[in-house]
Amino acid sequence: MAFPVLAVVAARPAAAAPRGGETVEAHAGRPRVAGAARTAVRKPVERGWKQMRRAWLVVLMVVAVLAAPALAQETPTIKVGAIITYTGPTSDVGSHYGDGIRDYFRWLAEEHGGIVETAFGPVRVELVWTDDQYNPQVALTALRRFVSEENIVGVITWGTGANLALMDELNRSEVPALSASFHRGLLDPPGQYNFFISTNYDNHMRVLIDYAVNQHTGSSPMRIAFSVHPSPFGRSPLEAGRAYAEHLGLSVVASQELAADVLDATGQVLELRRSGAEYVFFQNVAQPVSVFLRDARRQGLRAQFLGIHYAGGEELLHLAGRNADGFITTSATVTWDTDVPGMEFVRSLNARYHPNVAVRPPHYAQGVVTAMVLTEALRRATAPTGRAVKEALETLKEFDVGGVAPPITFGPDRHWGADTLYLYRIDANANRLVFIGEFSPNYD
Amino acid sequence: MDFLLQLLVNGLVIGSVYALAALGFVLIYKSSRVLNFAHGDFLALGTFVAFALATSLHLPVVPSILLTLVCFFVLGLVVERVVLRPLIGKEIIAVIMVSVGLSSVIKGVMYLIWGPGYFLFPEFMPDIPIIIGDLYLSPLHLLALAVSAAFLGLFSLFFKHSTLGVAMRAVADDQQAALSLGVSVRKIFAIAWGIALLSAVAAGVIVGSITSLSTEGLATIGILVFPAVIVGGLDSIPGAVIGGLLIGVLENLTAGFIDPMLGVSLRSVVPFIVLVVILMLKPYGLFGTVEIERV
Amino acid sequence: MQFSACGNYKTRYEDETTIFPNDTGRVFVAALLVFLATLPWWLSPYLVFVTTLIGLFIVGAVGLNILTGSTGQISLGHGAFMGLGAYAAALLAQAGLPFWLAIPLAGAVTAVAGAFFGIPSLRVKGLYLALATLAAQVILQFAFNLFDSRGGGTSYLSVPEPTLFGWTLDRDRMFFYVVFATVVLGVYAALNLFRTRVGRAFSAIRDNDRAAAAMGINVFKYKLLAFSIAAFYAGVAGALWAYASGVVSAERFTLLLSVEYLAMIIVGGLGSVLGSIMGATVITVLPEVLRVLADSLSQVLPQATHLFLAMRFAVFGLIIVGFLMFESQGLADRWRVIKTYFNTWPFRY
Repeated sequence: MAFPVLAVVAARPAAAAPRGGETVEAHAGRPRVAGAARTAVRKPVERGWKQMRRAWLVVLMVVAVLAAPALAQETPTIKVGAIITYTGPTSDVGSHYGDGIRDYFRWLAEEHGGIVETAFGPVRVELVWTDDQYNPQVALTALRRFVSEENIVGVITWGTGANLALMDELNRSEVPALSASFHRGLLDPPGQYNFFISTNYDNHMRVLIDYAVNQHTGSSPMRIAFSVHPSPFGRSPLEAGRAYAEHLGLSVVASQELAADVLDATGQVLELRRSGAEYVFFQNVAQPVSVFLRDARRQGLRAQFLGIHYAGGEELLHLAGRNADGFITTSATVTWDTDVPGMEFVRSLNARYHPNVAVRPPHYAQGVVTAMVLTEALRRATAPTGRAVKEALETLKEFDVGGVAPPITFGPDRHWGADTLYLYRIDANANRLVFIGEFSPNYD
Repeated sequence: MDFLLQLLVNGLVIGSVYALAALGFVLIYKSSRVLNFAHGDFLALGTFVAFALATSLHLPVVPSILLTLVCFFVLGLVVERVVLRPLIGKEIIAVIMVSVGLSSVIKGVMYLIWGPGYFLFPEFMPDIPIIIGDLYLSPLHLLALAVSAAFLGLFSLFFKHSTLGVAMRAVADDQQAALSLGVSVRKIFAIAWGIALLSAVAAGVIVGSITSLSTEGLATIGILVFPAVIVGGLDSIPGAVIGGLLIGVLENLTAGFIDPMLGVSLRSVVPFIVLVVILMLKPYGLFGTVEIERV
Repeated sequence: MQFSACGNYKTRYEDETTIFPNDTGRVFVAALLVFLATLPWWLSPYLVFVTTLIGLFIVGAVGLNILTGSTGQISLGHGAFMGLGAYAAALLAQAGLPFWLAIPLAGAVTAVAGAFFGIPSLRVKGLYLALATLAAQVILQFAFNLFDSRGGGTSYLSVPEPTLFGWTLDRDRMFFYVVFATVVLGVYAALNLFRTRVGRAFSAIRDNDRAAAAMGINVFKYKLLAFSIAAFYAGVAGALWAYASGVVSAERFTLLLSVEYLAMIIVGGLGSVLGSIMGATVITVLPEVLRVLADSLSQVLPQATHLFLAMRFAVFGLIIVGFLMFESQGLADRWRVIKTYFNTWPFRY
């Protein structure tokens, strides 16, 4: 192998004169220039043998070192995958979700050696993860790689677009997925391999609309508007929201899109001001909502702002500050400062692995809870296969996650984890989120 | 009517930021015939550096911005020397691709240091809107407009009246003639890059303080510079300014009038449709010099 | 058979324009093709998928090299054209066309779009044209996003499995052969293009289009043709990609993809088909290598996640800048130098 490399070097038009002490091969390849000093020729054969023996020794040592842990192990290893968004759109919250998952499995590995007692014996659980950059194709490639090379039995995912793209492959390779996306289409048709721990975005929207209607004391019909992320994630609850609003006799005065990397939302704000919207419902991540709120204050848009899960939370408070005062948000998990045993555990995880980070948005806890649910399913699984894990997930009934989220219940036809969600109001002066209550949507 | 006025005002504010960024871009093109694809990334990097100085080192805002401007001027000199000098005489695609490569490297560096999150510039003035009738004027926006105008005014004075400025215009017009008059063309190239990065950072800091900082959002401004300079003319500095203002106003008018009709956000693509139209009808822009090829 | 020549013994003009100067190259390529055809039988499915990806990027890169390397028209919109091909193929496949019709048709649709966006080349050249293609990229990407948004929020088109006479071609293994055949065809066509009039016209336009016009070449027509051919290749690459991946969505076809294509031909060597192949291989394999590196290092240093994810951008940029500064003729030229070394050994030239 050295020969072509040296040939490359030698092929440079301005090659240096032959130097002494080169290896045997180079010496053979160099053209002999008349008059150049002959280099000392050591016995090439002996040198070659010594080198070879040394090389083999090194190889043996390396193999021994690498093989040792494998030989020492008796418990089999099963792997679970995580395909999360650390770079790209929505990565500002996706990275917290990813940290939550990884911290949980790291804790599992450090505290319990990664050993989980399952229904088919003890196994060592290992997490393999990758960043999908919020790109469905990258996610799909990663899933195929995890399935064919790592033989994962379960996967935790993030984005709506990625999840929609993964559905066929998940069903084909029989690997269950727990997604951060609560898109209704992920559970359709029933019996496929996707799960999520909360109720779907449509229901989040219905709860918000109900709350707004109950709070409303003013003109009739009530004027509402929607502002969504231009993606399937954003557009997901739009149809149901409109239908529900019409059903309740509300007037939808505007429906806008707000991209995640927008720096200025003045146009959107002005349109809403002109149309007289009184309630604005967001389905987006926190950053563009914070931009919108700031421009709303600058342009004098007075309305009640409400958002679904990813739009609000501590992240919005951190980004928008005073502008977020009074914002109502739904959440699948409780806030950072809630006093429940589950959140204590979550806080301890964060303190242990990220001592510099003081407060985390709810997605960190969401990641931990999702990892917990998957590990519990591994415990209940009757075989180390994806199919068994899926069936195990479906046996979860009122699974307690320490109060971080409502107890998780799945079933053969029920792949959403909870029927209730939490509502919070942002109090900017006290710099915290105020718990309003646990609500459930009005199913018609 | 007020709605239109509001949109115009906001458009001028964001347009002045585009104009500043476009100014630097055109400066580089005029002097060294390089399309700097990394302009948006330098813009973002400068803003982040200013932000880091203001928050991590706790310097007051204005000195940290000035310090960043100086640093990036020097950075422009370095970039020109290290990256562009070896490529003199190579074909256009090599030069474009180098700036593309630089753009990627800078993106990587920014991700390395600051990650994917969003940050807020520390507030240095209260942001209570001034209300005139139905028109809401944000003091921060007005300050941004004033600062942009000041920069642009300073630059135009520089180019018109200072020796160095006149020398730069001479080099941009005809390198050979300038050389024969004793102008150091190499020095002018370097200074052009320095000033270009300086104006990019100024634009970035202004935008960052009005809105927020994110690596992707700020770099997008760099892409929007292209329609601005095409509209104005790739080699015309006043054209760059007018082009920037026009694009800013166009974006806002689209967001205000056309988007609500269609329900989708066209504001980010309309500048590029305009770019294609202008390239087909009046390729050299409003003020650019028409390239006449002589056989 | 003749394996090496120690001089120039050609007696006819046709011999000068052969693709291989002697039989060495022919035998080597034949052996390589046979070897590649056996890949799906012993490589893991994922690696076969990666090879399929390399193959279809080779197709796209060859097309771009025809336009940018050989005709001298810079295109920043190649990624968008690939997307157009992918969407067209997905729609045609959903409409029931078999893959061997959908792929060429998708290419044809993209060729028409390529010609349309090449119209500014009538009036502008060089940097202005690059900006026109940049606008094409942005506009097409916007159109893809818009298309994705119809129908209540599903953001992707799913592509039905390719079938041949009722027998489904497994996306992982069997579709490899479709891509393989397309690559062979595409490369063969490109190599032969430069032995024809059209190819010579392209080279003339790149060298000096005013002189070419003076010699009677219809410059505008050939420029449009170059755009169309490049777009056709890109469209076919996109169609293949749609079938290989099974899912088409707008996030893949960004400006970054167009930049990756340009990186492929720069790393490989402008104007050289072999360069397109090498460049496509390097640039496609690079993210995989970085990913493996980042994953393995992340297990050791979990706190340093962002460090390694950011590596991707930085390394990509450094490779582009590095190649431009130090190896500006690309890998194909370096390969030529190596071959010459062996050919002329022990002499220097």
